[in-house]
Amino acid sequence: MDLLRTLFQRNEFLAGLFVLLLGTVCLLAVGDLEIGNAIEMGPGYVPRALAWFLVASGVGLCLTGARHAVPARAQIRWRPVVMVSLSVLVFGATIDRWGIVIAVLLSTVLATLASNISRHRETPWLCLLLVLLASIGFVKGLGLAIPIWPR
Amino acid sequence: MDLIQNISLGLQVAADPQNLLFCFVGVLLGTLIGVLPGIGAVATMAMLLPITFHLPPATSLIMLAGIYYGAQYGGSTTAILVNLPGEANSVATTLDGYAMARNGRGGAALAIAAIGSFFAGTVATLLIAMFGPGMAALALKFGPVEYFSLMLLGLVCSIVLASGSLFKAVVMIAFGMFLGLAGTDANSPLPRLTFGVMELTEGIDFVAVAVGLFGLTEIMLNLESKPREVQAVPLSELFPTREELRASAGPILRGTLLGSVLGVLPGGGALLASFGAYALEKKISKTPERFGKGAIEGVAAPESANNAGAQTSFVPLLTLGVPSNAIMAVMAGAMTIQGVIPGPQVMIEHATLFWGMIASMWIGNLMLVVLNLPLVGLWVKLLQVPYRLLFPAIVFFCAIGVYSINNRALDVYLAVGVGLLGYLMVKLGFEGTPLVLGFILGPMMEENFKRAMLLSGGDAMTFVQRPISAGLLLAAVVALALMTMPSFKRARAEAMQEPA
Repeated sequence: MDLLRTLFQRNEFLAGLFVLLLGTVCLLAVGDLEIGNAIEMGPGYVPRALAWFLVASGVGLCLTGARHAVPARAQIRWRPVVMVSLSVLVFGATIDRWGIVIAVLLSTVLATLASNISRHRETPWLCLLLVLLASIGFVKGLGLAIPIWPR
Repeated sequence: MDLIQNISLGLQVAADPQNLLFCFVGVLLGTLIGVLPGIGAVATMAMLLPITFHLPPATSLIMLAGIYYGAQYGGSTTAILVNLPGEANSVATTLDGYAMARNGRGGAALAIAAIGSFFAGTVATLLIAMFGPGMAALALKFGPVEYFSLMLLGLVCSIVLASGSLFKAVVMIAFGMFLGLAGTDANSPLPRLTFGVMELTEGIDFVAVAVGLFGLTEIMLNLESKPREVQAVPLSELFPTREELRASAGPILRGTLLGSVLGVLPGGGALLASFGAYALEKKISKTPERFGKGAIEGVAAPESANNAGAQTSFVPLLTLGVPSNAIMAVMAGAMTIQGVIPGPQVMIEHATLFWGMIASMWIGNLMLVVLNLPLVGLWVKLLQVPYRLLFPAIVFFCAIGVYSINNRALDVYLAVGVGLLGYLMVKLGFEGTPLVLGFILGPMMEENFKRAMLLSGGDAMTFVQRPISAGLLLAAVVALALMTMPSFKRARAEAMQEPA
């Protein structure tokens, strides 16, 4: 267990795992795409080569990373990561059905929750500004085909 | 004279009222985001891509290019007055620029930066006009074999000249390529690598990738630490003394030349140019101990170099069709949206677009001088807009920019996914730029590789048997070999850290 814990505190080892994960997902995406041969390559030829390269690199990075003790461990701060992502996701999820006013309102409020540097008495004004910019500047001004209100 | 004819054609296009207007909008926006920390040129250009779709090709490219070199100018203003590089390219300027400002010579530093940049922009524009056609003519002789080798060389150079781990950059290139290959490929009717998602048939949109990596990731990282209180040094008179002018002439000239050369190199661009020029001036100076304490040479050289480099980095894209850094990848994306395939044909089939863009760069530089020197007070005011108000606005611009590519939510979700990925990448020591380059070059390389192999009957030796291709590959090998030499390694690390 201790061994595992030390491993997970080594950044390079984690980097290896990360690449290994990417490679595995890529392999899954390739699936059984036709490989073809060197003269007439199928759609799966290059992607498969890249995916295997990623898997091999991931394993390589893991191995070298496990041996080298570089203790500097990455700190993840969850609040900005989660709130910024959530803010944009909510924007995407609401804009089609509820229109840009509500989408911008919700996503801006969520975004201001991403950090304690935000001052909550400023939030309404910021929302108002961005909603106006979005509906008048973007949708009306640039003629984007985005609904303003819920439909 | 072809050159004069071409330039006058370009000036005609650039002087078109609509183009002038959007050139102005571009440099204004560029200056703005250059001044504001926490938002870079790549993200801004990517966000605006969907909007440029409604403009004519020349106009949209003129505006996007304006954002890029406008950001160089804006970045230097904040570097000098508040010791905060608005763009990575102006890091070198902070050292002596800020020192000058504290010595009460901030106005002179700004003026020299503007004069140097304008001179560099003019020279670089002329160089592109002079050497561009020759390079394009050479590239027209290229077949799939040569193209593949050229792109490979470009990728190799981009990792050699970038900072950070070589191997990790290669890994990110491979991953970027993979992402770029998703969607329908040229030779088969069925979409691939889409996990059966219908909306991905056209592939992952470049805008989603660029906004995720350079927009959202950036915000997440910025919010981790308390934003710095911004305090601008009060501005003195704007005019440099005669002595300061004389001391700057040499550095401006050398910076321009060095920047122009480094800008053309794949992976080089403005960043490397500014660091390189600063290091050069310090090395040849008789009084290197003055550097870092307000030497005007330390402002003149990197500022000229980064502007020259910014300009000439358009050369590989416009003549060879190979983007050399993330900014040029966005430009490539913009050209593709407009139905203009980047490459040597641009100069022939879209002559007005090519020369119009070149000429507009010069006009844009002129606008920037006018815009920056008298209005510097305004930019400093803008700088005081606190990040707590800025970042929700940037989130909003990211979201609406990505959504408006195709008016569908999927692209927005993809951008969030890429943003999260980018956050993890930074935490684990990977860089975003190789991924973006791989993303753009991947499909082109696969296509050329396939064709080359088909033509040669599956014989990979064809890449070393054809002379141009062999030369390009040799250059790539030499670049890689240099990397393994300890002395070069040290120099590379030093060049990247010198000003820091």
